[in-house]
Amino acid sequence: MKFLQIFLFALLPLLNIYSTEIENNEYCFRCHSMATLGVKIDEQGTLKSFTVIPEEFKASNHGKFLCVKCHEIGFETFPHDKSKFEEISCFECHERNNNELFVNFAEIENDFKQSVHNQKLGDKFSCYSCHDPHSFKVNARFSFDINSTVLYDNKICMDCHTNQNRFNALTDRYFPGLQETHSWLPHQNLHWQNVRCIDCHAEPVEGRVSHLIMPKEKAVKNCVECHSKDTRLAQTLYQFQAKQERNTEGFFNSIILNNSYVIGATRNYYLNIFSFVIFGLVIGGISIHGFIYYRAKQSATENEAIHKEYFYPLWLRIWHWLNALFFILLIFSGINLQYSGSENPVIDFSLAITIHNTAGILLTVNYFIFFILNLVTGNYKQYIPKLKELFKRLFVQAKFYVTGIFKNEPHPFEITKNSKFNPLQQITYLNIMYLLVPVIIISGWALLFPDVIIEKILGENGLFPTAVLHTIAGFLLSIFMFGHIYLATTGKKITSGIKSMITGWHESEKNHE
Amino acid sequence: MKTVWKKITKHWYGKTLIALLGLLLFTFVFMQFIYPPFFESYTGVKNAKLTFDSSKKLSPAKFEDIAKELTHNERLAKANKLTEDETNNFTRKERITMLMNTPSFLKETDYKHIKYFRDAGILQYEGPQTCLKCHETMKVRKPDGEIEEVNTLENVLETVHFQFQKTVAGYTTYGYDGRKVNEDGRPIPVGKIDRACGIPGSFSWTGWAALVKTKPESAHGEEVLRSEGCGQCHIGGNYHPATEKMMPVGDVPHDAKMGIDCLICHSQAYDMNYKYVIKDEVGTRWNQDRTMKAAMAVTNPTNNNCLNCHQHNMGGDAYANNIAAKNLGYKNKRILHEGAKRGNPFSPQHDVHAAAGLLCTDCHIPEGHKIPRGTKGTDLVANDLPGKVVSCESCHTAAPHTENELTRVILNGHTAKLACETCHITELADYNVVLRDWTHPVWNEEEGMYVFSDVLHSGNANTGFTFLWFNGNGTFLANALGNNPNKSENYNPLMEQITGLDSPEAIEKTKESIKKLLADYDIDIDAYMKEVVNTISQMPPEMIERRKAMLEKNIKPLQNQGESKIYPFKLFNARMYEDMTNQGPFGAMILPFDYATYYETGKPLEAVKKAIQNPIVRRMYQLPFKLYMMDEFMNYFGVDEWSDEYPIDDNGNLRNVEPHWMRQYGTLMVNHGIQKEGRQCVECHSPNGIMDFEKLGYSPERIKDLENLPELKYINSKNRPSVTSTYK
Repeated sequence: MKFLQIFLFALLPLLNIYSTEIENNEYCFRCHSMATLGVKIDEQGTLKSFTVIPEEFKASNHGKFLCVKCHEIGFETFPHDKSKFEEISCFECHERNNNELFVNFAEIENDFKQSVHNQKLGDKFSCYSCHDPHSFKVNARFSFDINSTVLYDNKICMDCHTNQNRFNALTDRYFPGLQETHSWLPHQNLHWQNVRCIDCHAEPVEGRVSHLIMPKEKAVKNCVECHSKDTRLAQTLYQFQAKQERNTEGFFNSIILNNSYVIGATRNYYLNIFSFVIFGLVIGGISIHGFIYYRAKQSATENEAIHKEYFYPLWLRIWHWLNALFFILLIFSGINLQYSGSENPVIDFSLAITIHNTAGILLTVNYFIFFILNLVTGNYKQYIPKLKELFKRLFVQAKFYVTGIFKNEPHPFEITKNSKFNPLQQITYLNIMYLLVPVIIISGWALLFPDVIIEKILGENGLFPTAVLHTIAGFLLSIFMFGHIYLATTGKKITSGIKSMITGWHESEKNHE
Repeated sequence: MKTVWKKITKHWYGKTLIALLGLLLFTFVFMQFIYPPFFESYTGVKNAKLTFDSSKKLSPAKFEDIAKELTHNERLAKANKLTEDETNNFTRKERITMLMNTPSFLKETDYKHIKYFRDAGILQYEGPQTCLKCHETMKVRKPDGEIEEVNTLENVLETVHFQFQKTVAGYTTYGYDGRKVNEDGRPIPVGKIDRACGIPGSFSWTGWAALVKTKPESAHGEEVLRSEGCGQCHIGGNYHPATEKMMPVGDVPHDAKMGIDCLICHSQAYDMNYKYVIKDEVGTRWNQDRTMKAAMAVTNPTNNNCLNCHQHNMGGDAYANNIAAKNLGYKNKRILHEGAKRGNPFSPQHDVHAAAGLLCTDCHIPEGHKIPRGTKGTDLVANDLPGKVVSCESCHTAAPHTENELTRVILNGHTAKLACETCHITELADYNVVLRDWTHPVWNEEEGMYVFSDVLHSGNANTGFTFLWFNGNGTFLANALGNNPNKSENYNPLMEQITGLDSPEAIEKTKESIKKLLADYDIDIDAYMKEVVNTISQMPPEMIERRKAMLEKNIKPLQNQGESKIYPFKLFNARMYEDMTNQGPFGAMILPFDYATYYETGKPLEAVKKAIQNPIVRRMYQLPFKLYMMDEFMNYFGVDEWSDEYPIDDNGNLRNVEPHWMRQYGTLMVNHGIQKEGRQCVECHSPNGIMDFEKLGYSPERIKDLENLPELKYINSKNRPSVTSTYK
C-alpha cells in the first residue's frame, strides 16, 4: 500500500497540470493578469514583466487567439519550464510574402535589417523589443486621430529611450537625455506630441510604416524638410491620412481634428488662391490709381502758399519708424515661414524663425510704449471717429480718393493738429492699431509659448485656429502696408508725407482762410 | 507733551494711528495677562514652574567620572558589536582589548556633548533651556534638499509629539458623514488629545498622570503607590497635555515649554526609572530623567529612544524585549499593562528590519522634529508630515522577491493586490488584546488592585487580526476603507467582517474568559457572546437601517477611491460605558475612567463619575465647546448634533450611561514585526484557507480558482521553511 502511495507521488510531477486542452485564456490570466508579475533580472533592478493586461490583449490585433496557440511547449509545468521554450517568430504566422496582412513582412524585415537597431545591437534587438504582440494594434497607424497614433508610436521608442535601465540593458553606450540631444529643436513638447520619432529618424517608405531607423547623424535636422509645401510628413505621418481624406471630410476638417498646424506645410489651397487674388487686386488698384494720380498731378499748377505746422512729436516719429521696421521684418520673415520650402529659399527657416520671434517681441514692446504714450498725451483721441454723419463723411472722403484727388481738389476735411486723420483714416487706423495689431500680438505670443498659453487658457484644441488667425491678421496688415505707403506719397510732393514723418513738420497749402 | 498729543490727534490719520496702537497694546496685555488665567480657570488645567529633582549640579570631578564611565561603556558596547562574529571567546576578548586602544575607533565612538559641556562649563542639565543655549535654531532639510533654519523650540512645539493633535487638514480619516476630517469641514482639533479610546480606557485630560494606591501581595498589606497615565509616553512634563494649543488663540505657557523632555528622545543614557508620577502642591505630573549623565549621552535619536515609548503600542508591556517595561521607576512604579495594542514588536528578535540594524528614522525620515507616519492610516492620529510616504516600496520596489526561483515571479505578482504585511506578518504576539472589558474589573492579587478584564487575547489570523481591502483611508472610529478592485458590491466590512468575531478560537477563548468572571459577576454568557459575535445587534433595527443607508451613501464611494490592496488589520473592541444621548449608528460617545478610582475600588461607574467631573469634560457639555468643536466632532461620528445633556443629573447620579461594546471592531494597521519568511501559498489558497475570499468580494468562479490552484503541486513545501510561532 505504502509502495503504491510512493509510486503515485513520484508520478505526480509528470502529470500535466494543464492536461486538458486549454480552451480559455482566462486560465492563463489567473496569474498573468497580475499587474506586478515579474522579477528583477539584474542588480540595476531591471524588471522583466510577465504581465498581460487582459483588456489590452483582447483589444489588440492578436486578441482573438488562444495563449497556447503561440505558447505551446514548456508551459505545462509551474513555473513554466524555460529550457523547453521555443523561439516564437513573427514570421511563423506572418509569412514573408503574404500581402494579405496589410503589409509585406519581407519588406519590413529588409528595412529592419538596415536599421541602426539591428546593425548596432544584432540579436539583442528583435521585433519584440518594440512590439509587444500582446498589445499590438496595427489599427493605431490608420487611426483617424493622428494624436493617438503619435502617442502609441512614440511610447514604443520612449520605453527604452527614456528608461535608463532598459536602455543600458541593450547597450553600454552613454544614456543621453532626450531633452539635451534635442535641445536644438524648438517647442520640444509640441513636436513630440504631434510627430512621431520615426518621422525624423526613419527613412520614409511608401505604403508602410518605416522600420528603417537611421543612425542619429542621418536624422532630419533641417526644419524645412517638414516645414514646407512638400513636407516630409506627407510621406510619413500623414501618408495614410492623406488617402483617407480624399474619401472623407476633406482637408480642413481633418486638420482641425488633429489640431496640428505645421508652419510652412499647412496651407489651404483656397485660402492661398483667395489671398493671392486679393493681393493682386490691391497692387493693381494702387497701380491704376497711382498712374492716373501722377498724370493729373503733373498738369496741376503749383500752389505757392505753404503753411508749416509741427504735427508729429518726437516719440511718435520714433515709434512710427521702429514700428515700420518691425513690420517689414515680420512680413518678410512671415512670408518666408508660410511659404518655406526648397522652392523658394530666400532665407533659412530657422533664421526666419529667429527674425520673426525677435521682431515680434520688439514690436510688442513698441506697441506698449505707443499705447501708454497715446493715453498720456491724449493722442488716442485722434483715433476716435465722431459718430455724427460718419457714413456721409466716409463717403465724401472715399469720393475724394476716387475722383477729387485726380482733379487736384482740396482735401474735403482739413487736417489740423488736433485732427490729423480724415474719417477714412480714422476708421482704418482704429481697426489696425486697436484690433488687428493686438490680435496679431496676442496670437503671436500664444504661438511663441503654445504649451503654456494655448493649452492652459484655451484648452487643447486652440493651436490650429490661433495659427490661422495669426496668418490672416498678418495678411491683412501686409495689405494695409501697401495702401499706407502709397497714400503717404500722395502729399504735396511724393516725398512730403515721408519727410513730415521724419521732421515732424506738416506742410500744407493754406486754404479756407 | 500735551501739544504733541494735540498735534497727533488733530488729523484723522493721527487718530487712527493712536486707535491702532491702543488696540495692539490691549491685545498684548489681554493675551499675556488676562486670557491665560481665564483659560486655566475655564478648563481647569493648571500651569506652574516645573522643577525636577533629578536635575542636580555635578562637581567637575564627578562630571569627569561620569564622562569616563559613559565613554567606556559606549566603546565597549561598540567593540562587542564589532566582534560579534568571533567564535573564539579568547580571541574576541583580545580583539576588544585592541579596539579599546585604537585611537580612530575611540575618537569616533565618543559622545560629542561631553566635550561641549566641559568646554562651556555646563555641570547641570536644566531641561530645554540648557539645550537651547546652543540649539536656539536648527537646520531642517526639506525633501527637495532645501535647508531652512528654524527656531528649535517652535519646531518642537509644532510637532504631534508635543501637541497630540492637529487643527489642520492632513488626516487620512473620513467621518461617517462622508467628509474628510478637517478638509471638507471646519477644522477642529483632533488627535490623541481629545479622543477617548477603549484600549487605555480614558483620555488625555482625565488620565494624564494618576497615582494609584495598591496593596500588592509582596507588600503584605502595606499601601504601595503606582503611577499610571497617558503622560508617561508624551514629551510634555506639565500637569496636563498641551491643552492651550487646541484653541485658535493662546499659547502654551513658558513654564510648560520648559517641561519638555528632550532627553527621552535624544539621550543614550536615559533612565526610564525616572518616569513616574510625582505629586506637588499644584497637582500630579510625570517626572523625567534630567540628570547630567543623561545629558552627556546626547545623540540623534536611536531605536532605543523611540522604543522607550513606542514598544508599548507595538510589542506591548508584556513583550519580553521591552526595555522600558523593565525599568518601571525608582518609586511609584508605573503600572504594567497586560495585552498589547498591536502585538507586533519592533526589535532585532522579532523584526527583520530591526535585525538588519535599520533605524526607525531610515523609514520615518524626519524633517526637523517632525516625523512622518505615512500616507495611510485608519486611525485619527494626527500627522506631522501628511503626504510624506513611508512605505515598503520606497526601498523594496514592486518586485521584492528575488531569492527563490520557483516562486519569486508569482510572489511579485501578488504585490499588486497584497500588502507586504499580509504575508510577512503571519501572526501577532499571542497576548495581543482583542476584547477588553472595562465594565467587569477583577481583583489582581499580585498587583493588589482591580484591573480590566481582557476577555480575548490572540495573535492569530481571523481572531487577533483579519484581512481587509485598504486604500489608505479610515473612518472616524478606525475602520479600514477599501474595496476589491473588481468594484464588488458585496464587500461591506462595516456590516460584515468587522462587526463580529466568529472564529472557533475567538468564541472558545472568550467563553472561557467569561466563565472566570462568573465568580464576581452575574453574566448571561449567551447574551454576552451575542454582542461580541455581532456588535450591530446592540442597536435597535431602525438604527441599523440608518447605518446601512449611511454606509451606502457616504462610505461606499470612499471605499472605491484609489488603489486598494489586502492588508492585515489588528482587531479590537472594548466594552465601555457610553453616553447614550450621543449615540449614532456607529457608536456612542465613550466615557473615560478615573484611573485611581477604577484601580482602587473596582467600581467602574464611580470611576466614570469621577472622570467626567473633570472641569474640561464638564465644559465639553456646555455651549462654547459644543459650538467650537463637539458638533463638528459628532457629525464625523455619524451623529447629527452633540447633545450637551451632562451625564450626571442634579442629584449627582449618572444618567443615560450604559455599558456597550463598540458597534464595530476597530482595525489598526500593523506594519512592524515583519518576518523574513512569509506565508505559504496553501495558507490562503485552499478551501479552508485563512482568507475568506467571499467576504473579500470575489466572484464564485474566482473563488474556485483561488482555492484550487493546480500549480501548488509544484511548489513543494519541503523547499519552504515550516512556519512555527515565534512568540511562544
